[in-house]
Amino acid sequence: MEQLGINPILILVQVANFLLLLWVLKKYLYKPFIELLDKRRQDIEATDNLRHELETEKAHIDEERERVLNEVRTEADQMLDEVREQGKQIQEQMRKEAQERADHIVTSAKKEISEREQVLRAELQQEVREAAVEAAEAVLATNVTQQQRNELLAKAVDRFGS
Amino acid sequence: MNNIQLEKLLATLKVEESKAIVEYAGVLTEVQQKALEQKVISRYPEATEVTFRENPDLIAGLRVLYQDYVYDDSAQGRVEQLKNTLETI
Repeated sequence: MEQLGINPILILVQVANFLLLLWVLKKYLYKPFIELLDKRRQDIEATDNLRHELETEKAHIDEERERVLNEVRTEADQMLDEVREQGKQIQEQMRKEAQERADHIVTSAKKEISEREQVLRAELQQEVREAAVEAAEAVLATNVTQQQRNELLAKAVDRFGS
Repeated sequence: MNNIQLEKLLATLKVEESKAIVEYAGVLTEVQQKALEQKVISRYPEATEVTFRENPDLIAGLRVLYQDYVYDDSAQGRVEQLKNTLETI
């Protein structure tokens, strides 16, 4: 073997050296590197899980938000309908009250006019009566002559006691 | 007012009560006056006196007053009747 140039001790030393290198690399390079890769992979998995959870949570939140919005819209529509209905009722009530007030005013005015008309008619009739009496008195006082007066007196004397 | 004054007042009122008054408008002759006096006494026998007085407000005719009785045959009385009739219309 020495004629071939192979040194067994050197080979042993190189093998030992190689093994030592292998051991050193495994302990100080390969293992930490693998651990690093594992950790990184775990981190990535954790991030993926978290992202998935967040997406799921977001979907739930979106659903809840949509549900709440729909409820609020429905409630708002109902309230709006109720307010509109109340507004219509109030409007109708006000219209009726205004109509009743107007009718009452018209009825009162007609009654007042009728009463006033009756009063005026009565006053006019009284004035006509008084005017007729005054006219009769005036005509008799101014147009009866003394002769006529004496004749009427004579007739009255004849009538008395008969 | 004492009793004597009261008696005088009552006597006056009794005299007034028995007096008949004839109011007339126009000229009343004596004949008419006498005839009227007879008729008044005949109608109201308790009248002891008949007084005549002219009242131009009657316009024409006569009116006889005795106590609460009133006989109105005057133009003014007719006008009053007209007034009362118009009041009832």
